[in-house]
Amino acid sequence: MGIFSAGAMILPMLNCRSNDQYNVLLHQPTFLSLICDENALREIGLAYRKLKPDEEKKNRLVSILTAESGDKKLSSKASYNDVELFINNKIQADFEKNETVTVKGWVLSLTEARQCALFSHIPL
Amino acid sequence: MHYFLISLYKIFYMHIDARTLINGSLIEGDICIVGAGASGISIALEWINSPYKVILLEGGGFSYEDETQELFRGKATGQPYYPLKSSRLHYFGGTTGHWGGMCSTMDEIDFQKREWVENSGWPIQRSDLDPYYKRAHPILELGPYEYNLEYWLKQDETLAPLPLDKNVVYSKMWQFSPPTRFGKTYKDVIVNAPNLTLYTYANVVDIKAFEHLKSVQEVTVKNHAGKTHTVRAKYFILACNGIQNPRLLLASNTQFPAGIGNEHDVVGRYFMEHLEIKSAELWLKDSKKMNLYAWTGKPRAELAITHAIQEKYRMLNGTASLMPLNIANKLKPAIETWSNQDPRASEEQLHSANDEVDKKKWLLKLTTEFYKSYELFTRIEQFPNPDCRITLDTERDALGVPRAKLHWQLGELEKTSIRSLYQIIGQQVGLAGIGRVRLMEYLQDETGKSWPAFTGGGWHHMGATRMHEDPKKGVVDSNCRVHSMQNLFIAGDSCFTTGGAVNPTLSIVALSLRLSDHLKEIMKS
Repeated sequence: MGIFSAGAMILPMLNCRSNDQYNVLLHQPTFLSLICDENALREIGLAYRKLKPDEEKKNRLVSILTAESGDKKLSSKASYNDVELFINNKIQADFEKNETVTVKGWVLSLTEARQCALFSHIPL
Repeated sequence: MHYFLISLYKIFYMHIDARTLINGSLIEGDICIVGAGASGISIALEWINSPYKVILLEGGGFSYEDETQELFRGKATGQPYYPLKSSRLHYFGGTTGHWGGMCSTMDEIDFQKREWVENSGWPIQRSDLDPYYKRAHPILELGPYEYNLEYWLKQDETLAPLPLDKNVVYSKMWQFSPPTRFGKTYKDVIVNAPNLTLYTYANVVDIKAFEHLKSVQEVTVKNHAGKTHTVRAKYFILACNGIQNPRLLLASNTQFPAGIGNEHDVVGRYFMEHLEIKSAELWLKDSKKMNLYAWTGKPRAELAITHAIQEKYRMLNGTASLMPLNIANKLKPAIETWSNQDPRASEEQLHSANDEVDKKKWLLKLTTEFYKSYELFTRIEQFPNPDCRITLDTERDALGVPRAKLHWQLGELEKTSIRSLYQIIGQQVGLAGIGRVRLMEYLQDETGKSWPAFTGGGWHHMGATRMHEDPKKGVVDSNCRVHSMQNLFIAGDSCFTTGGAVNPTLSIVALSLRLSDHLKEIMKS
């Protein structure tokens, strides 16, 4: 697994339809991409999907990632800043609640592991 | 007659080479300390200028000799271990002749009965050792008796801790002894003490009890010169080391078929090491200088887990050391390099294997350069396992004593505890938003029971004559007295009930001073 320290990467915009920013942020674990390269993220994503088969499907992952507390969901029309804030808060909350998962050795928030899983759905 | 001659001899010499005595000499005193390492010398120092005659027996001389060192050769089975011969030094000063000087105190939790750690629970508490830790500091030439992070932050503001929740992960402080080489530092004071006689080349090969079998009458000493002597004293303290203490008890089996103090088959059992192994990586968002965690010879810290969290995760006590990853990746594991029977050769191998990393340069780099990735290296206690043990081999050494055989066994709790250690640190690092932690491959499979080839120990031999109030579960009582012997005491880390997360020397000296005080009280009465 490759690890690099050059800075956040820009993920490919494949499979993005109506709202690129929304999709990119959802697919991209921003913090983790400061540490891991694209291949590493993909490997984490594939391993997570294997670890949690019920979250294997893309739609399921999107649904979980965009879910707020209760029945609320993140709007697909949310602004870039709103999505970024939403995901970052979710990651922070994961760590606070100790909702972490160890995938390929990485101790990750569940949210960022799911982001990797979603990322791994993007064809190479 | 012999005793008379020795008395005359002693008027002039406080050090006697036992090879020069007439064969069959009888040596008598009030207290006989067997072994002149950190423990034995610390106790001996306490009795200088007392009204008692103290005998200090050392198996070797004042420097390394392979013939004497050879007496420590033994066998190891189970988890691969260092050669027994080279894992301790057999001359005046003992293993302080090559120790690293790392000192810290054991934690309160180490002494407590932990429901999730089988066979845990000392009959004493950490507070019982506190005054002795303080007294041990000058003996080990350490700084102030301070292990509080806040204290050290005030001394040096560059020692910034990682911004982790200290209710979960805290920075456990360490101090460094120069390191004190007991053989050099205390030779003159021991040799010149008026009431103390040091006998070198005096290897105890047998312990004999009085007919009533409740107290020790004498010990037999031998050397390679073919001399055999007898030492009688009112009290005896075995201060050999964590392997030789149980070996000597087991080998003293002429009156006791299973060995002295071994009525309940406990001697030699519950051997514990500190498992020392690289375990994870810390990847930071931004490069950091880590002065607080750097190996510079100055007070430093390791990441440790609070007691409440240890309880919550039902884990053993352990710590994580930080080392820049690019440096750590160049270091060879100790279990690979410390492979020679000769401790000098093993030490040479250890250093030459790491020659690629210029120690002075990287020590400087650690405090001046910023790093983004660190290796996390574990030191963790083992749970006290009765099957992890020292027994006697069928082979005998040159003086006729059966050699020691170590069966080192690691269990599941050690592995799950290391995994928990880094999952907790990982969660805290994530919460602080400073980076992420990655566990090494051998920790990733939660069902995996095997250990990687680089698994090592800290050369810490603890527990094989453990302290416990119940003679069925321990060899010595809370005062380090062998349960079944009225005048036989044991000093050193073989008395540890559990190993804690720190190197044992400071605790060895503290416990020895406590034993010494106890004996003084007995002598007074």
